[in-house]
Amino acid sequence: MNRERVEELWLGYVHGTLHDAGDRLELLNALQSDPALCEELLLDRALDGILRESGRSASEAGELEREIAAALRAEKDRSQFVEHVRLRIKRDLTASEADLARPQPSLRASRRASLRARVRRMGQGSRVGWVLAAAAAIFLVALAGLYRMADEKGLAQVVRLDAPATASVRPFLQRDRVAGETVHLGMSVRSGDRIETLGGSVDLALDRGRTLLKAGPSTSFGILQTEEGKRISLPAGMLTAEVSPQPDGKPLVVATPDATAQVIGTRFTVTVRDGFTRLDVHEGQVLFTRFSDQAAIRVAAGLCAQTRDARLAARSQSAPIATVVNRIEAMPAPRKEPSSEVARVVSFTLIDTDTDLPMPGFDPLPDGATVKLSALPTRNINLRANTEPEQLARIHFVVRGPVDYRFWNEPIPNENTEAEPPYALLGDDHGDYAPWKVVPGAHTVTAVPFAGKKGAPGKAGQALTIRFTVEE
Amino acid sequence: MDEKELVNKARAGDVDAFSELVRLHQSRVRAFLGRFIFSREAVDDVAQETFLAAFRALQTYDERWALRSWLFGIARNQALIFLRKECVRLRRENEDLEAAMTEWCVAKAEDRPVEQDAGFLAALEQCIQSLPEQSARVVRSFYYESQAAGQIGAKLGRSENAVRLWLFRIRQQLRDCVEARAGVPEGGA
Repeated sequence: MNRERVEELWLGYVHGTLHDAGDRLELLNALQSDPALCEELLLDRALDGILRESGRSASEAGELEREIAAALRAEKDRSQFVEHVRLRIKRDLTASEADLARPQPSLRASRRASLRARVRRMGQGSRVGWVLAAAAAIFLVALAGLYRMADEKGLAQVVRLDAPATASVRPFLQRDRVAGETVHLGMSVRSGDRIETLGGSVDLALDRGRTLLKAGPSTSFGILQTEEGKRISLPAGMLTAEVSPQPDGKPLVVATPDATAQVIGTRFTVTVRDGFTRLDVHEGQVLFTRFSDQAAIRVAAGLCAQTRDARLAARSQSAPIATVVNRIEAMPAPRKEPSSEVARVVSFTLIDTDTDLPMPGFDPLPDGATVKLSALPTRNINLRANTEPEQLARIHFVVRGPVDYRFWNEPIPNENTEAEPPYALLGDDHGDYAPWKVVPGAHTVTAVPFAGKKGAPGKAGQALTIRFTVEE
Repeated sequence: MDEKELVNKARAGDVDAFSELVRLHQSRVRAFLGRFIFSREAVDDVAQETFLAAFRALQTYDERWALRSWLFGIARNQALIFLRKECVRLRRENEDLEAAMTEWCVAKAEDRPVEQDAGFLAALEQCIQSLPEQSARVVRSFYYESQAAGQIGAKLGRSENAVRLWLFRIRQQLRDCVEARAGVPEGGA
């Protein structure tokens, strides 16, 4: 296609008048077949966009400011509301603790005193007051009935029990639950309940039996249904879950003191012992987040991860995992603050992107190595740069060789910048490495580290170049 | 009140102070987003999301860096979130040309540090100042005064297509100028 025709189509596209499907396809083909032309016109589109936005009238700008201010005020109101509720709950808790501490009068005496006081007050009011009071009483009775009906249904049911266990009273609503009430088979477990197992174990069924929670011995866990989904708090012990697919945007989350495991639908075990959390995934995939540094990783079936590791990573479940005696020692080192030290790339590691683990024999990948694809467990690989310090402002990769790798199904230039560890040539999503459909031949990869705070331009450090050959 | 004071007040929850920061930075943030996003309405939405995200994250803002650069970083992330969703939607609706353009734009943006985008914008502002008077007038009429290409053509005795082509040539000139000033590598869209 000649240049004039491309420009004609392009101008139609930029000015919003290229409606004919044939013309649009013609332009798309022209762009796909000529990367240089495509880049030139993308830049033209970018310039058009910047100029257009720069020229927006003052009145439109004012509208944006007003909209943002309104949204912020609404958000502030919401925050204040949440804070208000939090304070109310705190106050109620303090009050109930004080009530418990105070010597209680007998219920009958208290009721009589209350009734006498009420009659005295009512006597001072008008007939309208009596009518309003009666209506309010009817309303409250009806509301309580409805609440009880809804509540009796419960969030879960005890479906197996092999030894005595106890269920705690609700944290805020002290109604018909008694602290230390014994859990029995078929018992309805409600949102807000906490179960504590002694020597035995308890199984709970949720989601009409489609989700199963199995609490091991000496386990304490609470269960809460919120608008954001089900939340299981697990301060200690072991919980195995078989989770049916959860509603969109409402995952089931198991929260331990130092991590969360977020699940849409899968089977896994979370163990809290010696102050750290271990997650074993048996089916599906779980998003595992460590609180101390907000490191997050997707743990696939057959793998496990634990918060005591300095670098949160999925590993084989059969790998020995030492028991931690001292929690302080077990906690990962705090993320280093940006400093003026020179960053350097220490080595490269070949990653198996099916398991997101280092490829045996290629950690590190030696310079001049030969990677035989047929000898690997998978052809889905990626390359990770190991750096000092671990956290950089960013890292820039340049790759040379018979590269035909694809990123989101579109060719990209032979360069890539990563802002967060792990620093992978083809990128990753919280430790879930993207696969590199590598082409056999000689490859050269250079990684340039930039020291500094994340998001900052950073100071270029000591780069490392590696040459390796890929064979079928 | 200077920017630092406004930031401190906004950090304490003062919405009016933050609105003032929005007023100061919104035009550049929108221009920055214009590079990534093709639809005006979407630019407005993403600009709004950018400022809301900035307000929520204001405690993490490091004052050693310019507020504008920090906002650009947030804007870039918000733009990429939006564009990735757009790619999926456009592919689903068989809008192949738009989908391809969006995907290329995402791939380019992901590969480009945010400071390069900021440098591009700064260089463009300078290059616009150096345009010949007649070109500057056409740019002003079309982009700043929202006159249609046909209207401009009628005033200048040219066809609508000729004005479009003229604008295209001006953008080519600007691109050359920006590349010379900012050292933008070829195809850095």
